[in-house]
Amino acid sequence: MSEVFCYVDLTDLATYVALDQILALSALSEVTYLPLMVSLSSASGRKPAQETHDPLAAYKARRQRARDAFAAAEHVRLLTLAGVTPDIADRPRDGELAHAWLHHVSMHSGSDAAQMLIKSVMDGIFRDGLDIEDRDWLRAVSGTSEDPPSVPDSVATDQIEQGIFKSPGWLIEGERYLGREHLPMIRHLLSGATNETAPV
Amino acid sequence: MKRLEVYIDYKSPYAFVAMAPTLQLEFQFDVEIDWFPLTLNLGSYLGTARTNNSGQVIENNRSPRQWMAVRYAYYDTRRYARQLGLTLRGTQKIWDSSIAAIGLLWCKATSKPEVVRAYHRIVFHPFWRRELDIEDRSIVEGCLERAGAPKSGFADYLNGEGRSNHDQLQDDILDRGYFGVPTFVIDDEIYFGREHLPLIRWHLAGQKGACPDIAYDTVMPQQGFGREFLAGAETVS
Repeated sequence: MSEVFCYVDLTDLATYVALDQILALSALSEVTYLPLMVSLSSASGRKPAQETHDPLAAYKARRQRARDAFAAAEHVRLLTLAGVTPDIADRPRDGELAHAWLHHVSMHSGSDAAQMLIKSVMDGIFRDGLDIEDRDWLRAVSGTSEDPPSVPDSVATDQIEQGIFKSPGWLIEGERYLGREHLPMIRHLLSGATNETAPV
Repeated sequence: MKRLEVYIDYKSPYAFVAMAPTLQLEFQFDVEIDWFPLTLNLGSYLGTARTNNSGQVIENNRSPRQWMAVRYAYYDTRRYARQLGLTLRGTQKIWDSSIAAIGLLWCKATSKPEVVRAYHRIVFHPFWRRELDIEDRSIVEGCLERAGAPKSGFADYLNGEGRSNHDQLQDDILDRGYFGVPTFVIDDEIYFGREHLPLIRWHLAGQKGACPDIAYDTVMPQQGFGREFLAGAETVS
């Protein structure tokens, strides 16, 4: 198996839900962890118009309402699965500095150190309610006294070119897998059980 | 016996890939699947485009982000389709699947569940091989006849009660909070996407233990309605 890349948004609750499973994959293969720098929060790129007499605008507005309701229900399910309270989960977060740390640690200290950083940061913010923008805490977690350089623009450019836009994401032998729903397939691939029936 | 509502659209690659593991539920559990068409207006949220036989884009009304989402959707579903032995070729335009959807309503109204299952196979497989024009009434009539549903009366149904039922259903569906396919509804719980099948199985098994997370985790057994679907349209007698 060639090198495996795993892309993580440290502020993403859906990633935290599956974090132990995500990190456990490194027992099956060498994994390089990188911060996810691209988001595709809305494929349409714009909010639909308010409901009007225009049938298309009305359809879009009603569909958006249905999507929002489902997303809210999914969020509740996620909170339960993760054991995280809404007041912690729903805080606005800027992961820029933590992502810079992840990139730096991954490039200079290797996979084990990157895993420890991911685990410490995500447990810190989602379990312990810590502030992901707290420099002192991030320095302590990463074991250094200086802030890292920003993530190079080329990292985001590469992710856009590769079509990586969701956390957790993987790139395995040129194939990308976006979302934790792919974990059974990724385990299947990394365990080398490719002669057995794959999970779908 | 539990009742599971499943909402599908024949033009959705996600629905196609979900069919076998979904049909398998009826084989594994004491559950009856009630199928409904959810006819997506894809262009309204993913833009529109048309390609030629070489895959070149000849009409384009999509943003870069919409292209990224659409390309990934086909990329993702195609690889899982391959694992299932299904042929899934990207469509060259956004189809109006409402005639095939009304065909499903007609099947349900006139025929037994095995006919509905056969209709799924007869429509899904050739459509995703680009061999079925689901916008042509006579083609859909042929599918119905082959599945074992009556052909006679469908034209009137399509232009009357069937069309009005379908259109009303689409309005109702959005108001109930269903917006994509496949959507599964059981005991008023809504699950969108085949990644929710672990939760649906947990639900059908009596909700014992902790609720599982989402996953594409179905290992298809060698027998059952799911395996029957994978055998394709050609095996319908």
